[in-house]
Amino acid sequence: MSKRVAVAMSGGVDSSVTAGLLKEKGYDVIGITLRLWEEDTLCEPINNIHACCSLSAVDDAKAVASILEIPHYTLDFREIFYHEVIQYFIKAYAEGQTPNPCIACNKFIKFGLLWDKASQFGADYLATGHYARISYDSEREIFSLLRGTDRRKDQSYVLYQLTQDMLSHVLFPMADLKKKYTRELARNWGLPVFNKPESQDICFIPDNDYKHFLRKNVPDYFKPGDFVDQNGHVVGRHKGIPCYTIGQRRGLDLGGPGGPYYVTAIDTVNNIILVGPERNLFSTMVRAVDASWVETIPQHPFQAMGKIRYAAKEALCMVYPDGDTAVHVEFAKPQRAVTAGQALVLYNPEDGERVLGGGVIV
Amino acid sequence: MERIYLDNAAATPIDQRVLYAMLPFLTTQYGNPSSLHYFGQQARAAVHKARAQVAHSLGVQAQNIVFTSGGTEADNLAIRGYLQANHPDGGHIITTAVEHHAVLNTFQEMAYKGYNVTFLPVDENGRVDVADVQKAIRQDTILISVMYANNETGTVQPVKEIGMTAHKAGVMFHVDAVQAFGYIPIRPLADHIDLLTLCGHKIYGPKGVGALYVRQGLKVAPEAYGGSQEHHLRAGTENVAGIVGLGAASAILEEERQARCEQAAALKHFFYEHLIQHDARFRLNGSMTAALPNIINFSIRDADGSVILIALDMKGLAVSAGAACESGAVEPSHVLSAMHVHEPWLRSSIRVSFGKENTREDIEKAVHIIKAMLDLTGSKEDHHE
Repeated sequence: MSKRVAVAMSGGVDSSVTAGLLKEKGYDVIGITLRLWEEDTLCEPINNIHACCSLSAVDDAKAVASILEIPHYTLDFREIFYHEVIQYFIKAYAEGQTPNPCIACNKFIKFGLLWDKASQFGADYLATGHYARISYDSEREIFSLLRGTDRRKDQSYVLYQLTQDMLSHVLFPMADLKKKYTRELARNWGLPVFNKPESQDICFIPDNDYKHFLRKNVPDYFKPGDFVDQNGHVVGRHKGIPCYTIGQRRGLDLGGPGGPYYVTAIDTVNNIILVGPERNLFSTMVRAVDASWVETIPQHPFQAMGKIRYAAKEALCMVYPDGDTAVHVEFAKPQRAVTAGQALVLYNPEDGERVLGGGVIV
Repeated sequence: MERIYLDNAAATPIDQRVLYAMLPFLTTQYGNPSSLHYFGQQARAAVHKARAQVAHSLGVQAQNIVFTSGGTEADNLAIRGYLQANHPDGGHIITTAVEHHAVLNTFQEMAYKGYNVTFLPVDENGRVDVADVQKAIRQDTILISVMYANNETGTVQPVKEIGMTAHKAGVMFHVDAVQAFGYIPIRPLADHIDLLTLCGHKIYGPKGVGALYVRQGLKVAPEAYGGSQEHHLRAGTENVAGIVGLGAASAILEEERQARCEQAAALKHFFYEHLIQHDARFRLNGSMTAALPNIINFSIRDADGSVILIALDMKGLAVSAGAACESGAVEPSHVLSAMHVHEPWLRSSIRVSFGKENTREDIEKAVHIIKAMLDLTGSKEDHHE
């Protein structure tokens, strides 16, 4: 009997093609779509009537599944998503950090609870539309997590928390595809999502206005306070800590001779945003906690390529393990705007292709 | 893979006899019942006959039956139409916490529009206490709506007693009998019912057709404006084939209801005895006595209902988690919540509903599949053993 694969289908083109590729390869494919947040927030009811369709993502996934002739189910994960992702997201901003909710979602939701459920109904594998590769070294009996072939689409950064156990039953069929080819495949198969736009950065904030989202959910976080420069002088008033992230220049509304100003640090205890010239943004030392290792837990210092945010370019660094779950990292060249809450992901030093592990920057 | 269908409370298969009655109106007899010519008259006669069939099955006059697109539209027409025609400026209306969403959300909409709404509680079996109805009635109470039997648990309400209580107070009484119709002979006149909802696809008829019984002389305002079809209560060209199907299904039901009850009851008892009664991993939701013979609702300790349903579907067993949700995701049931079903039972409820196509062998297999599936997924209890 063919192996059964549960495919996490978001209704987007990547996960739709993922399902199609696996079906072509002869797997017993099951589509699963997760309800993660209240779609109703998309369209505020008018006169108590929901005037627009709020289930389009699920509908798209179901339409794709019916064309591919695979069974499709929806799982309601709104409660765990709220606790593990949305609350984490909100709390991080309260603490002056810049969270990465996709990483939390991958850990707790997709490769956590979804796999747990899928294995319960007999799935041998879980597949997602991520652009990353998995290889197996039969000599060392170790799975490796590698970058996607299309470097521009590579998503290995958000997958650094995958463990050996998880990698042994995860499939990333998109690994070797180029995005353009993905859409061609979708069109050839007659999938209606072939020209669907890229998904938003943060799925539960569809309008991308995270400040509005936070204002609505936690208005208390928006306490105006002082902008303070590197000499300790108050140079202006800020609108509340969640409005700012390290390295930010726009929207500070700070004129004056000392500028241009950049956000260099966030002091939640005193409700102060520290600002300064761009050169103050650069640092070589980074500390990360909650570390997770893909292959082996390092005991000794080692060289690696480090990446301090999704869009950053990886750079050579020395990694000093501090116990099993924390690291000190020293970059060879200063990194711009190292931001607490973002992930530091470490790749092998030779070609930066293989994920070694990562942690959360503090 | 052999598949076993035990979700007859969601939709029944179409009875062959019903299908054959409908087919001419999907093929050769395509006239519009409003047309004066031969073709129109053929269609009109068919609708007329169907109306008489449905009326007969309820012991009422044909002129008191209005055909709709289904149970939901009939519920809306009854509640909104009655209020609009008689009490457009507000008043107090009563329903229960365990209604189908067609009624529950209509009442919520009425509350938004300014009506005062009371949602009556139910006991652990999902039954409304007539004394609670009596207590809830006020000077300005104008309408009570209570379902005859619950779609998730099969629990049957004391409809006649509630009807008497309502009428004593001069309050109108609507009953959603979509689930009950197939198994309980309903007599609106004797049961003190003013408005009664039925539909086709729970009684081996087609989807997309329902009916509302409106007591003689009761004013109801239409929801849709247009032609004068259905005594001005439901504008739009009739769904002739569907209406013929509902009529035929009602007529057959009258003949076979008793036999269907006995068959379903035997299957339900077999299922209960062999799966639920002697196994502490299971809990019956509702009672075995004051319930429809075709629906059984149970929970599995600490299990996740959605995973169970998917696992069972993969083994070829089609059941449901109670009410079907638009997205297909399983949500905690408002019915079980109202019955004070708590964790670890709340998220693992399963509704099994039997039909006339089901055999004893089907149920034996279903019991076997559920037990085997639990050994695979393991309810938490098992892991600790």
